[in-house]
Amino acid sequence: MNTDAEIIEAVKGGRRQGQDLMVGRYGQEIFAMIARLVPDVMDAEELTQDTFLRAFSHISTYDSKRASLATWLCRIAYRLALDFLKRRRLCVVSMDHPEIWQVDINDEQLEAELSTGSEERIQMLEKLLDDLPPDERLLLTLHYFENRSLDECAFVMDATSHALANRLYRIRKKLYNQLKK
Amino acid sequence: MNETYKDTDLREALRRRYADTPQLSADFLIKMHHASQSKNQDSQPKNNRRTLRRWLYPITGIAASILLFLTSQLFLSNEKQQKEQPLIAEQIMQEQMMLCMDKDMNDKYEAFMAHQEEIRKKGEQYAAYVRQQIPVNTDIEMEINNY
Repeated sequence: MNTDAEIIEAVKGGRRQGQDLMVGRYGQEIFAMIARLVPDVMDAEELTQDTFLRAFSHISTYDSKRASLATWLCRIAYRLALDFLKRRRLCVVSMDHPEIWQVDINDEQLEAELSTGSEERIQMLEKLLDDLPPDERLLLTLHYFENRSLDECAFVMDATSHALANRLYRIRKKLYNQLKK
Repeated sequence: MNETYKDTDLREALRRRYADTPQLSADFLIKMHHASQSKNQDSQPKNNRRTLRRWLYPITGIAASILLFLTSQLFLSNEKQQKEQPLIAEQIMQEQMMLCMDKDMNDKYEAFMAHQEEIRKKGEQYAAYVRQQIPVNTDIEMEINNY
């Protein structure tokens, strides 16, 4: 029992072995993703638990044509984490500061500015990442760190890939603007 | 808009920031199955409540709708009755007037007839009186009769 399809069938059949295999395969990945959104590790673990319990109870709604099992689990985790952050009244979505639109820089220039290889700039960016709201941080980690395509990110974050491309551009521009200060 | 940017600084910053991700606790699976069991136990009364809620709201809604419909019908019929009442009263009055008029006509007719009868009787009495008072020429009478 190794493939995702077999794991899904086992979970659909209510077999505990299938559930354990799913957690064994994707548990750490989901936990890491949630831990990047939620500040407390204990909360992240509890949300991981809720993610899998929800996945087990809604496994019949999973459509392998739309997304892989890992992406589907990420989507559940993202929604649960977002609900959690909203309940805790933690900042989820940021408002763009108007001054970032005053910066006149095109896509290529922005890419060059964020690819200097300067140690100082990397360290500054590392610090700036913590100031980003969770949804922006998640988009960056999914796309740059986990190398997921924008389509996959769009499925996880329940948005269109075009909207996410725009959002990514805004985040990069914001980071550039803060680097320049 | 290019979908894949190099952004090597940003990628490196992310790699450094999230290189040390916390690990899931060793007893995660046990805790999860325990939570699952307790959730299932808790969900039974919750399901009952949900079923009750699922039926209670539509039934209450239907009952309220019927009540509202009946009340509106009652109100409308009352209003209709109130509108019709003066008409009915008027009709009754007209009928009573007609009856009165008929009765009046009957009385007049009867009085007329009685008067006619009285005249006729008086005529007869006068004829009888005349016959008694005036001597009858039987010859002439006979002649007339023969003629």
